[in-house]
Amino acid sequence: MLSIADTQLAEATWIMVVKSIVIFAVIFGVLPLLTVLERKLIGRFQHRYGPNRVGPYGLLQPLADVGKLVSKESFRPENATKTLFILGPLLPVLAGVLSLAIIPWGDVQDGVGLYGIDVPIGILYFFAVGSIAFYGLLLGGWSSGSKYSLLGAMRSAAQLISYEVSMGLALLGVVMMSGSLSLVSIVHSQGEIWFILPQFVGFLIFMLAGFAETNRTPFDMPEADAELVQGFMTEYGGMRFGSFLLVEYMEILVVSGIAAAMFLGGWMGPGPSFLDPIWMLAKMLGLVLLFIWVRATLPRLRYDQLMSLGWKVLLPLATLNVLVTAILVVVT
Amino acid sequence: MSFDPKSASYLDSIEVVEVQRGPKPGGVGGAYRAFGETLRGLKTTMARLIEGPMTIEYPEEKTPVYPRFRGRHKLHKFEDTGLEKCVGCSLCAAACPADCIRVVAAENIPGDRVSAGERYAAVYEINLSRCIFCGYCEIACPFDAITMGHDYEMADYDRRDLIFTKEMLLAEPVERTPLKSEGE
Amino acid sequence: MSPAGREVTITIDGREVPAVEGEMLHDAARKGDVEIPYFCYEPKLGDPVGACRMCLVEIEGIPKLQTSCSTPVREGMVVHTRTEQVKEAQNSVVEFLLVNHPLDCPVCDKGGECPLQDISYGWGPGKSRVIDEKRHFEKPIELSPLVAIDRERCILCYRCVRFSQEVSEDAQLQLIERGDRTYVGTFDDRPYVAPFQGNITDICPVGALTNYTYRFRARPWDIEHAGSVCTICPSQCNVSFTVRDEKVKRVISRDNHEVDDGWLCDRGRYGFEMFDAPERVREPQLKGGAVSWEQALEAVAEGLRRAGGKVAAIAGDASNEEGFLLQRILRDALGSPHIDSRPSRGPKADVLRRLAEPNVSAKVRDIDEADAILVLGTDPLHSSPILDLRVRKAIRRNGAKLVVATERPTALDGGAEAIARYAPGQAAHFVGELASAIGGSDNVATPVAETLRDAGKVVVIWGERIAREDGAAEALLDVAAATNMSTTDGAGLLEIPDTTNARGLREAGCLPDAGPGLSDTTAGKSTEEIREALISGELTTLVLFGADPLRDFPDTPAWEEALTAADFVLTFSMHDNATTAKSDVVLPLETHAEKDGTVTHPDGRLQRVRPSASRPENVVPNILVLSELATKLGLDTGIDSQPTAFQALTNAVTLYNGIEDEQIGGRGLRWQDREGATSARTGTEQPGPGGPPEGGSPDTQRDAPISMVQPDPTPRGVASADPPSGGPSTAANGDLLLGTYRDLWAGPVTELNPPLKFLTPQQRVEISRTDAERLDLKSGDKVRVNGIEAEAHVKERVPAGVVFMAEGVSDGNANALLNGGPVQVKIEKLDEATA
Repeated sequence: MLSIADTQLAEATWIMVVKSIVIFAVIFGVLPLLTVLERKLIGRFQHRYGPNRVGPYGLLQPLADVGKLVSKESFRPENATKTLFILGPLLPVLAGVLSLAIIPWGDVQDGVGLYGIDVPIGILYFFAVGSIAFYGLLLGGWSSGSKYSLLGAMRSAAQLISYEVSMGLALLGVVMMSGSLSLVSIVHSQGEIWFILPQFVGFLIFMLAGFAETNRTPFDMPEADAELVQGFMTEYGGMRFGSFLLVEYMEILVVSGIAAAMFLGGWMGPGPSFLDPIWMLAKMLGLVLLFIWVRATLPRLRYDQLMSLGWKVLLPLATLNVLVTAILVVVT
Repeated sequence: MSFDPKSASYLDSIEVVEVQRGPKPGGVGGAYRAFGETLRGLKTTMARLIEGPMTIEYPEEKTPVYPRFRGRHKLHKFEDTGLEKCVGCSLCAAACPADCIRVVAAENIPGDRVSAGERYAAVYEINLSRCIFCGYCEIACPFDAITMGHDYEMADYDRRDLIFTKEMLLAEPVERTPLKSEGE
Repeated sequence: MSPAGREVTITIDGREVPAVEGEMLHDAARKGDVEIPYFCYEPKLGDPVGACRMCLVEIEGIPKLQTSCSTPVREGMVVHTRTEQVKEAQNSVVEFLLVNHPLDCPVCDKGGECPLQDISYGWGPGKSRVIDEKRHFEKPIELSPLVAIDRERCILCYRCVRFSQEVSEDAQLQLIERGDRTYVGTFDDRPYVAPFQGNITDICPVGALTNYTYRFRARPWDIEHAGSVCTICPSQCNVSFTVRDEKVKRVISRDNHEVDDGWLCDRGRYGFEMFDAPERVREPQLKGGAVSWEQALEAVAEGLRRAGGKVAAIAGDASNEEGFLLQRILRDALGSPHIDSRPSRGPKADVLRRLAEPNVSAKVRDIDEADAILVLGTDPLHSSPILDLRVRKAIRRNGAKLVVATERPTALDGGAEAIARYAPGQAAHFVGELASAIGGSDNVATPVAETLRDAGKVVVIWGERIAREDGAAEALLDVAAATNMSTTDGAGLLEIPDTTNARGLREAGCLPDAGPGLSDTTAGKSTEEIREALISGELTTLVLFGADPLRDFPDTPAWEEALTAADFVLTFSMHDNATTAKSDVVLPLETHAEKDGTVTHPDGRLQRVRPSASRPENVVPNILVLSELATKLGLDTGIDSQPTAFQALTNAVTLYNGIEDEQIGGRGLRWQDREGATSARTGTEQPGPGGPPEGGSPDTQRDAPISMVQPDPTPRGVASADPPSGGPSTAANGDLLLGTYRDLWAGPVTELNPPLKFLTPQQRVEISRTDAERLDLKSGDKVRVNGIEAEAHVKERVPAGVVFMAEGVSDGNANALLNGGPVQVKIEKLDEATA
């Protein structure tokens, strides 16, 4: 049994604060660029240019969007439950930011760990915090007092529960191979070979479940703009609505970060060590591009298809993967 | 004859058409096929990305039109004499299925001729908000006085501004629309 | 000419078609639904001429093709209209007609409604082999100020020439030159001046004859046709308004054989621009200033209430409904019986009732079939133009014998068997003499009576103005009795009243001594009595509905005085005129293109005037104005629309009981013709045929008629105007007796319609040659007649001792000289210097 104190690097409080601020600033700087990147890329995937009217190459588009969202009325339906309705979009933001803390950007250099915090229970922390986000969706959907919102929220709940199981099992293989829950340790154990090769099936399952966790196509069932008019977000407007969008992109980053750390060797790459965060960012960006590419390609699944994929294909496959890995780990 | 779909005589009597169906969804094969199709889809979108955008960025860049494109109408004058070709016969108004042309004719005064004939169009108005650009007016015109031009930029903020008068129709359009070159 | 032949059956294109022996093959084919193209054929124009060759058909047994318009039908005839031979002939005719036709259809006004276009498309070859230059004429040129002629387009179908020669009988239009140089024109290129010239533009099958008033105004697809009735004169011709953008652009005839025979006079045809004249009254006026309807009606109600029953009304140009409402307001709301619709005097109600008897009244169509026609005291050309054509047609086609008995020479004199001239003011006496002459006695009227005595069907066309004289109407009834009218079908009296809807207004109750349906009522004052009462102060208030006393009524000075004396004058008027200038309140009237209502033709035919064009913004339907006024005066009429007004009218007028709007339809309905028609006078005994009632000839002691003229022995000769033999000569002091007449063109119609302005008549003094020599006058001399300046006009046919002057002209209206009795005038010649 590992204790928290064992792996924790003792750092000064001011360093912790600076690290938090830097991570926060970088991520919130990247997020708007991510939205414009997605829109431009989807355009290209569809023979279009995407946004190119605001600023050079349309780069100021997010500014315009935010400007619009901020200046809009924060509307609240009459029969909404006020406190929960306001709380709804806040919880996922909180959860997203908390998740960012454990993503490792690099090894310990000059006594400073290039990550928010190296928790010994790393992966469990990710699952625990990620589930809080889902409370946000459920509360927001329910408190709106609208049937579409409620339906969207219920779908979200069902979807998240279904896919968290497979996701957990997919990561279990990696955990067994590295023998640690700490993301930093897991990266360290990929010195010889990235886990994507031995754990390819696990990687696929994790990515599929990741799509579902982040509510992205082809699993954007809770939003389902054609059927449920944006699902749990129906009654939201203004910056509250913007928060939900923000969370979506933040979760993409988190899932990409976890995947990069668990399967793609984290910050490891050729070159001097100060390039480590760059490698990590590059790997994450690659995964983000995959998210966008899939969104431009695949249509939304039907709800029953989504459920049957989760329970009938991914869960048995993930279980099998864990079983095989366990046998192999024990044998070797 | 009793009706039994499986009896030989029944099968002989009808022409059986086999219905083509895809493999049943579900199962390992289904999952495999779904995976394959997904990859094929990803390939398709990636190919579009590589091909690059096909957008024509409209206000800066205009779609060239064919020479026979039916855009905004033009009224013509004789080049040598400067007289209007239109004699106000109203045949265009008669041909118009949208009933958007209004012609009021008048008689030419010698010394101040407007058109080449005895009569001329004192009022010639086309309500472009009603026009369906079918070109019947052009076909009906016995003097080739009205033709469909290439101008298609007619949007306006006021419906009244879309009633084009004779002077507006006689004038050259401010911006010329590009024409498709041969073979394009 | 009229085919009374037997029924036969002929075969056209393998189909058996019933026909009448002797009728033209073309008519039989049309009735049998076989279409044969034609240009020149028009039964209204008389005998067929076969000029256009378009209607060629193949008849079995005849080697060559025949013109179907001029081939009479025989029993068992077998006709083919679609054989190769016929088709080739039709193709050739169209190609041949188009050899010289300019095909300038886009410019041509006829384009879209042109028979030549239709037939070229339907029966033509579609192309021409002719490459040579077409013939050229100067174009377009004025045939008259109203009609343009384009000779290049003419296909020489003869229609217009036939109209001029056989219908209007002015013989001005001719085909000039021969061969391919033939063209339609007048002698020496003088303008074609005739009161019916507009009709040639209607019948022209190409665009050769077009109206200047409609020149380039609209295309058939720009317009709507609105059928209505022209109410400019009592003829009430059926017209179709060509309406574009809710404005009348043209008036064309709407063929109704019972009324107008498909013709239209120029007054009705070109008299539409006055609807938009600047003189039009467009909003209510109070003391000359425009006010709102609310204020105007308030002022009117106040003015009428203040009168306290001392109010009178005169209706002029009004529909039956309007007249009915007006008399209800006067009788029921204001309690005054003083209402009239005649310009001066008229017969008493009981005489009117007898004149309205169905068995002594003729309908317009009876003129066609009459054996003898008496035109009495009126010149139809001026008072009811379309009847002039009707009488000419009866003479030409049916050989009717025409007798003219008038003061003044008429346009119909040329065709008369006998002509009588009586002195102005002697009409009653003359009619009395005529009645007894027909009965057998020998007197001055005998030459005229001889023609009528044993004629069979006699139609008497009489002018309302003779009935201004006491006893004239009664004498007229004696004439009717003497010619057995009541027992002869197709015989009867046909009145030409002075105002458009005189009969309708009388029957609606606008009479001083008769209510709706000529019923008995408290006697009120007639027009002249109203005038005197206004002057004396017995009446204080006057309502004029479409009447213009200062122009149309005799004795203008007295009317001026009456209007000035009146405390309150309310005038409903279409246009500003002298009367509206003297009125306290002027309310606008609708024109006949805007009005919705019924009018009654002088022969008893109810016709519907339908709204065709938009009325000016502040002109409100007159029925609504009157009913609103009635409400303000405390009388709830329950009338809020034309249907409710018509319902009220037919309920109140016994003659019209039960007439439905659908029965009137587009052709009208004579109330005498419908089943169960009620007579105006029930239970009154018929007068014996020979026994003239009291006042049969009340003035036998008066002077005998001035002259009795017989025509020359040559038939249809112009009546000679010999000096009178037994008549009184000129008064000892040299004064002459004044006779007046209403000229066709005298009136607001010519002045308010720019195209007709050139026809505006000037005052002329028509004087006999004898008197002219005595006064040393020649035509064109300026004279002064009792203060009115005029131009002398020496006329052969004017009897000596009489001068004639026109009423209703704008300068020197002869109405100013009339005072109810015989008027002697003194003629002074003006020197060039004083003139």
